[in-house]
Parts: sequence; C-alpha cells; structure tokens
Amino acid sequence: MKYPVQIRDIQGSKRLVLPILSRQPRSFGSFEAIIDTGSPRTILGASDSIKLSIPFAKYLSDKALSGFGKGNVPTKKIEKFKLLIRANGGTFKELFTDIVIPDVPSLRNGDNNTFNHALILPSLIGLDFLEINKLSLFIDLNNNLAFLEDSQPKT
Amino acid sequence: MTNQALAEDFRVLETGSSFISKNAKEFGVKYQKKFIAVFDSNLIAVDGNFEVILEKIKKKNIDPSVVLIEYIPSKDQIVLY
Repeated sequence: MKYPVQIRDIQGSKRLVLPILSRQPRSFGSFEAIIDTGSPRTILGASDSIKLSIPFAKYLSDKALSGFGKGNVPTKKIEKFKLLIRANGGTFKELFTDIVIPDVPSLRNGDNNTFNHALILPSLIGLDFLEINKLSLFIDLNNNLAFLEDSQPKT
Repeated sequence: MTNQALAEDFRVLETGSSFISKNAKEFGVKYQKKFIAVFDSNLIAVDGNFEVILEKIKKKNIDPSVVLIEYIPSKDQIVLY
C-alpha cells in the first residue's frame, strides 16, 4: 500500500510532509511531520506536544537533543506512541512508534530563548520510524511525487 | 471511534495539509517568523507567539489538537532539520 507524502516548498526549500493522526490515549489530534532521513529518531515537536496536551510528567527523561542550533534540548521518551496514517484509497495504517519529545516543563523554566526556539521546530519522522514500521520511502522531486510504501519482504 | 469518524478526521487533516502546501509561497511572503493556524481549508489565526495563537484558536471554539500549526521561517534563512 502507498501512503501519500506532500512535497511542500517552504521559503524555496522543499520538504516532505506526512499528515498524521495521533491516537495516543489522552492526546488525540492531528499534526504534520517532516520526513528527515538525516534524523535517526522520530521527534514530536514542542508546539505539537503542547497542542496535543501531552502529559509530560508521565514520561521518563531521555537523552538531550542536540543539533538544533541552541545548545542541548532536554527530552522525554514516549514508548509505542499510537499513530494513524492513511493510504491512497482510504485504508488506515496503525503504527506504534517510540518518539522523543522536548521536555516542555523544563524548557519553560529555563532560558526563554531556548524555549522559543524549541517551539518553532517541527515534528520529524526519523529513520527509526521507517525501519520499525517496515516502510520504504519513494521520492521523485522532478515529478512532484513522494510516498511511503509497505516494504516487501526479501525473497 | 468509528471508521467514519476517522475518515472525517483524516479529511480535515489532509485538506488542511494540502491548503498549506498550495499556499506556502504566499504564506512565506506574508507571515515570515510567524505561526499560522489552519483548520480544514481555512487560515484561522496568525501570530508570532505560540501561546497567543493557541488562545486565538480557543476563542474560535476550535480544539487546538485538530488544528495544524506551522511556523513560517524568514525568507533569508536556510533551515536545516
């Protein structure tokens, strides 16, 4: 099955955007995530975490996030976060993925600039998402076509 | 939740997502360094402050969890993630 991915031009830079429904208990809602094959981990951005009312206190701290320009960002880990994506033709695919979230309560108590910077970072689909959920990624920017597809087992 | 309700949630999500993609160039000119909030095929709020845009969404009696909120970077920045 194929799951459409949008190719969005943001300020002259193309991005691969996947629309996702969260079906995580207490945090139902919708968000978009940028597919980032340079990221090893899947990250729910601070603004999406707040919007989805993630109960931060419930989750354990994880490794700090670096590489986002403003020092290290404290994080928490949610195991088996429940998501849905939709295939062409309307079929839903249920996914369970470990995700990293910025530790928003800690960020709020810290430096204001760091918190504001965390808020502008989008949610990212990392390589772990593709591997765990057995999805392959097809991109043809020249024909404005991108999609995820269920991986075929090796024969 | 029924499949019909899920299909409607996806319709709203995918319509909003397509709306942002189609209007990305215009938003990039008009709303640099601001958050935009899109619900279905409507731009419902714009603000430079995330907490303020959440309040604006709530004042419209819309649940923020079903609204797409995106930050529009400045035209002179190359953002890598």
